[in-house]
Amino acid sequence: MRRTGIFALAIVSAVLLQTTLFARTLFGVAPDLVLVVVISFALLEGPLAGATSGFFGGLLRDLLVTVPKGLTGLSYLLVGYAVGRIRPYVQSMSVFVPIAAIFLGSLAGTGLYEILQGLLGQQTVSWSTGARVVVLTALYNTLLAPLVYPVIRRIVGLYQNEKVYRW
Amino acid sequence: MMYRKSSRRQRVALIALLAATATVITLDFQKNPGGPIRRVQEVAVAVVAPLQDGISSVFRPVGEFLSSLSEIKDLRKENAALEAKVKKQEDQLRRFPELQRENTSLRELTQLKDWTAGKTLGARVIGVGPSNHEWTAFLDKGTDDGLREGMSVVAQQGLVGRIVFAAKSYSNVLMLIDPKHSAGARLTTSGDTGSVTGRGEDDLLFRHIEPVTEVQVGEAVVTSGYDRGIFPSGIPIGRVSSTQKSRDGLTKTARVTPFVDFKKLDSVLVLLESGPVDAAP
Repeated sequence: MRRTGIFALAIVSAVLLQTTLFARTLFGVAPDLVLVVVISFALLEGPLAGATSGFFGGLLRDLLVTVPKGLTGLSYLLVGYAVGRIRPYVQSMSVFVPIAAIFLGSLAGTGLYEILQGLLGQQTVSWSTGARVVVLTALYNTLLAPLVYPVIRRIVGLYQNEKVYRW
Repeated sequence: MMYRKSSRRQRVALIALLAATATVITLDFQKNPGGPIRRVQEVAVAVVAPLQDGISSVFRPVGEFLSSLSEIKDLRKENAALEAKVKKQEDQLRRFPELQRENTSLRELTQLKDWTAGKTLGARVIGVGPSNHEWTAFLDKGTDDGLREGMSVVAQQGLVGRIVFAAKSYSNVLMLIDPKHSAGARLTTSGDTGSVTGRGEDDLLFRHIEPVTEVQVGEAVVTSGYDRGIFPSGIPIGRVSSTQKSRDGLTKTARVTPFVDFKKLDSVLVLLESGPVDAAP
């Protein structure tokens, strides 16, 4: 219960920050903080937490946009699951692991959303503009990763004290 | 053994979440105005919008102070330019009462409705949409304040967009610069009409101009009212920045720089008597 509350709080805060303070701040692009939070959860908590937070985080984003709902939910849930699944195979404890994961996961998440939107004929911008936004968002997310990831690790630690890592 | 069990649990959860996603996509596809998605959407807006409201009222003064610091050095230059502009416009103002009288009598003759005449509602922008491909903004007014979906939104400088989602006390406006936004438009010099579509951060695209029409760079563009009355006629949209002939030579297009600075959008007016004609009252 406490864990669910912490998940929800982190995701809502991410949505709030990206739609107010960070709105269109880097070449007209805002970071996708929801995705950063989802990837961080996936890294720390495994594929189940990644997929669940991806689904709900994506759904919240979906509910606040005017295009068909569900596509963000689908993209983020797949990325959350994949990141959680791949994490145990990366042996390194380096700080660059989460940063690289957030960069690649952000590319995959926003790129997948872009492709799904195109497949459903809901594309509103050209592929080149779309690709530019995907890369910029991933870079912005990576820039903010050193700020967001430690916060998520700290709040995960709040309920995880007695938990044993599976890897 | 342990690992296999947890891995199966994960797979079941993943399938359940994928099924839930498919349900969301299907339900939303039905576009049912009283459907469950719509209701969840209202809940999401009711949770997020008040918090956006709080954050933006705390941080707006900070942002304004910081941007005012960087603007100080340009102020002197701007002041001189503005003084010259005021002199020029004072001359133009002298002719205004005469023009206004003429305009009023012509309006009475043609029974044209003035968009500035109807009831309006002031609203504040509290945040933007979470997508980088969408140009929407959340307003701090909703259906409880008399606001409905489809109503036009304007700022002091001109057209902002139209309301696409209205919850009880908050609403979402699709901005003029969004690629999904189109408005019937008219060139003020020639009176030729067409439609203006958003292109995100780039200038708007004015399409369907007659190839023989002379389009001047710097010419103002206003709404035409020829889109089933979504937008009242005569709202300023922007200025022509360049023109182009289409490849087949059948029509011309023009790029239009909007009057409204969408990066600094703050206070807006909702035209309460606007909206599509065939919508329920």
